[in-house]
Amino acid sequence: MNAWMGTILRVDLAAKTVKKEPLSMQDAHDYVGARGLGTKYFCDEVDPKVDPLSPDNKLIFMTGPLTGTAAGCAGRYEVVAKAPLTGTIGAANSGGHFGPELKFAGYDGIIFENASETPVYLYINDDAVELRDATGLWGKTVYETTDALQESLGNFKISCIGPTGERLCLYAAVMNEKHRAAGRGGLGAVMGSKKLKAIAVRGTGSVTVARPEKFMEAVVDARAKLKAHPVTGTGLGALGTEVLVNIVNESGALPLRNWRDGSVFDQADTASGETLAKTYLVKKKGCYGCPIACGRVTNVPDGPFKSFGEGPEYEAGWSYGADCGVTDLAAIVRANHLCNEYGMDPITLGSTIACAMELADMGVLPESDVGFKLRFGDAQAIVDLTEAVGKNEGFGKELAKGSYRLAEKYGHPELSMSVKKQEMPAYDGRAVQGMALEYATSNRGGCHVRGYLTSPEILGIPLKTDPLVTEGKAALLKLFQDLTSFVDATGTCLFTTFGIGLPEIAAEYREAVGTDETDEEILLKGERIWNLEKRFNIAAGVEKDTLPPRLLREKLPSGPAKGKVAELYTMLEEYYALRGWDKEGVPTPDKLTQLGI
Amino acid sequence: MGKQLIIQPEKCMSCRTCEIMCSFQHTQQFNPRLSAVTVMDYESAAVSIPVMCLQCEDACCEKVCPVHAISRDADGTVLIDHEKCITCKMCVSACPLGNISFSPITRQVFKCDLCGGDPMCAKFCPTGAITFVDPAESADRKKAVAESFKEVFGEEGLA
Amino acid sequence: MKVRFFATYRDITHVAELEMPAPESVRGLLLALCERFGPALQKEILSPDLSALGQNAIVLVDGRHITHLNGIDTPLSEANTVAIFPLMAGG
Repeated sequence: MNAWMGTILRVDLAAKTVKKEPLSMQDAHDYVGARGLGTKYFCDEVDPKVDPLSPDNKLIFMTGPLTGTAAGCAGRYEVVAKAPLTGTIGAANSGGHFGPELKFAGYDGIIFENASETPVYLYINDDAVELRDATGLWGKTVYETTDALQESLGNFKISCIGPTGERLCLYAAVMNEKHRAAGRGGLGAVMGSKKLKAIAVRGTGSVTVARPEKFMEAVVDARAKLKAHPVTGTGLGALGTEVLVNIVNESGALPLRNWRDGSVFDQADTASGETLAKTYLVKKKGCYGCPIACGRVTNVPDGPFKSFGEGPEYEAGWSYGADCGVTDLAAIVRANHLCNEYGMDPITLGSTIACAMELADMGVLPESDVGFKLRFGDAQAIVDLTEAVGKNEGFGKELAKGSYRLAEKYGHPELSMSVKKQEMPAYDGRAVQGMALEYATSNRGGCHVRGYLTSPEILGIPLKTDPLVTEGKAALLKLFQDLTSFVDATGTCLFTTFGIGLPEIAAEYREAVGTDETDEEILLKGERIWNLEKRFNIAAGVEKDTLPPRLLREKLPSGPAKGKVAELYTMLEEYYALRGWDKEGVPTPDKLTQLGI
Repeated sequence: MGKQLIIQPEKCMSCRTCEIMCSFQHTQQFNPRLSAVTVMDYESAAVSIPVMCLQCEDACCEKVCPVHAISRDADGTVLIDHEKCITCKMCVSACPLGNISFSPITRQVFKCDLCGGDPMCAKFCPTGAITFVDPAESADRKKAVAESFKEVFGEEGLA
Repeated sequence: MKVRFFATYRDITHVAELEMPAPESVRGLLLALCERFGPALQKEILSPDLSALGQNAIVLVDGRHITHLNGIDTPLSEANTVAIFPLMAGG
């Protein structure tokens, strides 16, 4: 077929039925795949006011048309549901090898409905699909679950939740291949609320494309460009995403101690990609079909933080590092490994601990609630508290709700450095104005990746813009958000866009599905996806686009952005206008009609 | 002439691009199970190894085939003649390294055929874990050792 | 004046930070560094004709990218900190 397998699995966890239904080709055409297509199915079928942890929420796994092909970095899939952390449409993207295997088994996606009374997992072995008892797996960590299933079933790819998802931690992740994560927003809790422990898939079939020769031409071209580019060809593979620590810090944008102490950290290098490469990096790792290999296999061989696993990535390293004022890289690595093992989002967890540290400093979070004197810079604390959340013990039970609910409980919700209750990662919006706009407007709350203006503003890719100005940021952000929506929806990795762009990825997409649409028509699909998500959020009653008061009012004390605040409102009106939305940020009927939503 | 696939597992980062390109080259389908190369990943040991037919000089598959469908060409590549092959699958059992497979999709046995002289796995491997080299010239590891000595003992800027 | 090196440049300079008297401008600094660290650094931080910044190099003066200052002719003083990076990304 033209890159699609043509079949969706629909699983009713209450009735314990599995149905195979034809993929909606019209929706696949209009919404591309993965994030777009999963969101379309979700919005068509679920009431925006649904309680995310109720059986009426649906959990959708969706691959893209390019998933499983030889396109550059084509191993991705998306998990879509209403997110428990934020109440927005939550879509989390993951790599590894699970997505391709689902296609080899013959399925483009899975829709889970309702909830099981007892723990189950979904077994997929080509045509054979059934729900199986997972009582023996319930309570096991991500590593234990994956190992147990592979031992009993053989060479299956496993997606699963850890005990935190079972206990409905609001930022529980859906993990695959142990160390890859559909991480943000708490989709693991949705899975846990349905008593769905895992999906085990084995597929022996093939993915084919509409125009094989032209497709391979596009692929060869894309891969050659990825290889030639210094970032995708060598840099990211050598030093991983942690390579960002120093340049973000030198640019005065590395938020320090819950964003309280400005964004310049004299100890930043202790947790940088350079330092990681010299200490705990064992080797690099690539997802399915990926030449970039930004993955880090890491090992702390001895000491109190002895640990083996993968990561940390830049944002996770920041949330446990500068955000908590911690300089002990071994502790940061260990904390990240624990997040993988228990299945939790380290960006949210590290930021939540940082928030708790500030509350403790202020004297509003009593020592007796935490169980010890919590201070910034305490490396042991970040590991102990991570473990406490994983095991649902002590103060971990409070931390499991994220920084917003924590700060609110202790009377200071403004100290949760979050937007729509999801914590903003790792780039200070006061020093990088475009990122301030991205955090405020992103459809899943405080998210950096969907409008990654850090790339032009700090890194100069694809062109260099001034991080301290607001001019031009609204237009640039719309482009990045729309393009990212499209790339996510193809099932390929966003990191390809450091080395190639819309023309190359659109070419791969075009030849795979067999369309003759132009680049502009294809980019429009990204805009359609963005507007669909926005419309859902408005109907769901999600908060207005804004930023924490700290970013809007507290001037940065030092660095190249000294004296700056996030000039959000200067950019927001222009952004809404460019998007064709009204002054309240609501897509107009004209815009929705134009996009065919 | 006579080039060989050389594996350096320490460079393999388990992306499986080799599997994807191999299957497509031979079948126009993306399917690791139609690939003549397989990446074996040992997650807890942080090592992965691409495994494919190494074109044995003394090939068991060739010897065991009852209809003489397997032979070596002038370059030393061991090839299956599908016109003669009766798909008895004895070669699959005979290979001590597991490098011949039977595909339920194509209903044929298959093995690495070096893509007729331009192996896709080596061409697209992003790290050089698989390379296609003249064994007489191949001294990658020796070179690496020698280069370390050069750094320590050699003089800069003499020429 | 402080000069800091990052990522793969550290493999060439074998040092993360050094202090030196401030040259007149970034251009002067880059030429001085190339003299000190040789062709391996030169091919990264300068164009082949030595007249412009290497296309894969990033230079910040006190955290500001020289594109937003005066480019390679940005003046330098003793109080400045210059940070030099190869092109990089992540997320």
